[in-house]
Amino acid sequence: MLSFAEEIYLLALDDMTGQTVLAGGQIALNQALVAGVVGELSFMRRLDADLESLIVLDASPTGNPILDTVLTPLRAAGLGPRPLRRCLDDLYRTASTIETLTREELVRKQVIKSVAGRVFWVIPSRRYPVIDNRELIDVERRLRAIVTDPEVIPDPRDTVLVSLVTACGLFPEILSPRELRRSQERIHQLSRLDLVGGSLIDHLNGLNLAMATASF
Amino acid sequence: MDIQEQRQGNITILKPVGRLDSLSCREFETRLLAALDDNQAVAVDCAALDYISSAGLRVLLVAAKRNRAGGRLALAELRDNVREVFEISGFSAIFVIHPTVAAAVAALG
Repeated sequence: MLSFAEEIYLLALDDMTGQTVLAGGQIALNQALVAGVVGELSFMRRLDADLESLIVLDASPTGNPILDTVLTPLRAAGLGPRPLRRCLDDLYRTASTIETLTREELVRKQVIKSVAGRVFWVIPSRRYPVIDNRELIDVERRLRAIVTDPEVIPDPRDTVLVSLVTACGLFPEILSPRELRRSQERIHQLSRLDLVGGSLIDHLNGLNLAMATASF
Repeated sequence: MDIQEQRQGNITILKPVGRLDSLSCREFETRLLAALDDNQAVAVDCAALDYISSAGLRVLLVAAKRNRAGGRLALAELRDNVREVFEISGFSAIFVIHPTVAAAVAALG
């Protein structure tokens, strides 16, 4: 089973070019990767959350470098509740480490491969095409089944993933335009079921609104 | 957290008292799912539920999924702060929420 961070990274990866392409941009991906790790830790009962707070229950190291990237700064601040939004903002600085470690883990699991190349024949670059797309197909199938069928009650892990995919603006990459149009309301509803994910979406919507306002 | 339990015919009434969070939700989850797996209808009396966290909501979501066929799970008497969490998070669209336990029992019966 892939982690939330691995699933969201994989969904954000263009399987033709091997590079991340997101309607929501790199900021959304970074925020979603952090929220994905927070989600993972909450399923391990290391963290809990409510509408306003992230509650640190156990910040001792797990031995998993991706999870510990988030737990280390939380441990420094001590156990107990702290403001959810500020906490996610503080953890944002761990996003590039989470992205690097997540990509390495997907390479290690042979889901993607690392291919060296050059931009304009000069600048070294690296891209990460998908080797085995079974994982990707499985995630997309799961998401489609949840958001297109109003009778389906998602399991708690899937509510986190729906929030993260919504935050990154990835549903247009997964659903047909018709499916997307018909599922908008349900996607909105499902994306609120995870409290951390709902807070992330509000925050990104606020940022987008601020940027749109500033551009006028 | 204390969990009070009573039976009215085929209906089990579970009343969590205090906080339903990561520290307390395991026992509640065990009792709730056991009742549903035993084919009982369950009314959750939330009158004494002071607080619900993300972990507590997940327990209810698992129960709602277990009750896929519907009609065997109802919530009642949510306090304002808990109701606010349900409304903001969209959980109020998943559950039938009754104003009183008697109304929940009547709906389940």
